[in-house]
Amino acid sequence: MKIGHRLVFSVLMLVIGLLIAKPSQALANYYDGGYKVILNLGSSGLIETQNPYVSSNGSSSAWVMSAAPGPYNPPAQNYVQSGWAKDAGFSGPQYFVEYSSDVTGLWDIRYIGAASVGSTNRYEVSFDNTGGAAMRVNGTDYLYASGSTLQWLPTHIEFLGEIYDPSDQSPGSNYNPVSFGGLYYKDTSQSWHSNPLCYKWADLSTQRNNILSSGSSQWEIWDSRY
Amino acid sequence: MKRKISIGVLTILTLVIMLTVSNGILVAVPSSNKSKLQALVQDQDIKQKLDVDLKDTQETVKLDESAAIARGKEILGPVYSGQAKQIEAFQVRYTNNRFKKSLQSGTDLTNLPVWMVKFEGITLNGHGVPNGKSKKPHSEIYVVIDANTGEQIEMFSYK
Repeated sequence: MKIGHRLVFSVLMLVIGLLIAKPSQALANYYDGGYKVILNLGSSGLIETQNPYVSSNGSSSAWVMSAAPGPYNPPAQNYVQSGWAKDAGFSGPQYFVEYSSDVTGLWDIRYIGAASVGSTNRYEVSFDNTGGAAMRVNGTDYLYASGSTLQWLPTHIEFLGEIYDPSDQSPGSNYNPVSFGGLYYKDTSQSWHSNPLCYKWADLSTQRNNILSSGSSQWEIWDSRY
Repeated sequence: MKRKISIGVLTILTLVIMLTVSNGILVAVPSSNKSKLQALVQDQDIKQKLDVDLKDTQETVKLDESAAIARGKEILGPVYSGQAKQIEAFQVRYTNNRFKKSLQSGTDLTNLPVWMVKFEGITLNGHGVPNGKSKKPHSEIYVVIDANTGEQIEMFSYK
């Protein structure tokens, strides 16, 4: 092969390599808050809104979820969710609703608008008798996933903060933690029950909460670095 | 000589491609493509999953296409808009049958003139779980903007 041909070949290989290469994806997200293993048809809670630091590839969010986990507990492979999220590049937190089905491979997300920092809002997800689920913020339905879209029913309730990357601020700070309260879950007979006793979850040592080892039905979460 | 020139041209072209790809240089494509607009208006996922009806419209609104794209980028932020390989804006009439009013200002979402700014080629992972067995990142997001006030009506992603 002549030098000219080798040069062209090398440049083309470099271009192809650059085209194929992608930034590495996070293999795990990190959670802080409470969860409970219970058959249910919905969950609801009041969550305070804050404006955490988020890295350029990160996210920081807080939400309620009814879920059917896969091999890990959490995160859940099947879920319906409502909360606030500040994702990479957002100027502030947005209300969002989202669902995912590992059965059908479908997931959708809807960001509704800017969430007022310092406000406390009710987030709720609720299954009906057809196996479909509504996702609500302050009593308004913003998204509905049909039973044929989901094809699973929840076995867990989760009230968590979440980050993509350890460099993201998990919701809350030492002096201004994010409060979770007014919690409910809906049993399989469609009756709501208040104050479910939830158990502690925190993936990183910097993700703190004051959930008792015996369980709590209201708590605060924060990032110990802030 | 001819071979040297062709190698030179090829090298310059590949460098341009590299720079374009690595820097995410974007080209806002005019939404003159009627077929894309028709496909959007007839998209059954938007109609059925999101309970949104869309109608084609050519009316005069306060925000022009470039202003709509600029507003879309502002709302979505620099990270995802910077990832996008293509950004297009579609002017439609938007009716939301799920939530009837906008969250921010209570704007009636019946037959509302909007711009739907589509960002294509992004990597959106959602929340609740990183990529699962069958959960794959989405590559598109729409930012829906009131075509007269610039208000964010919503953002959504379904594929």
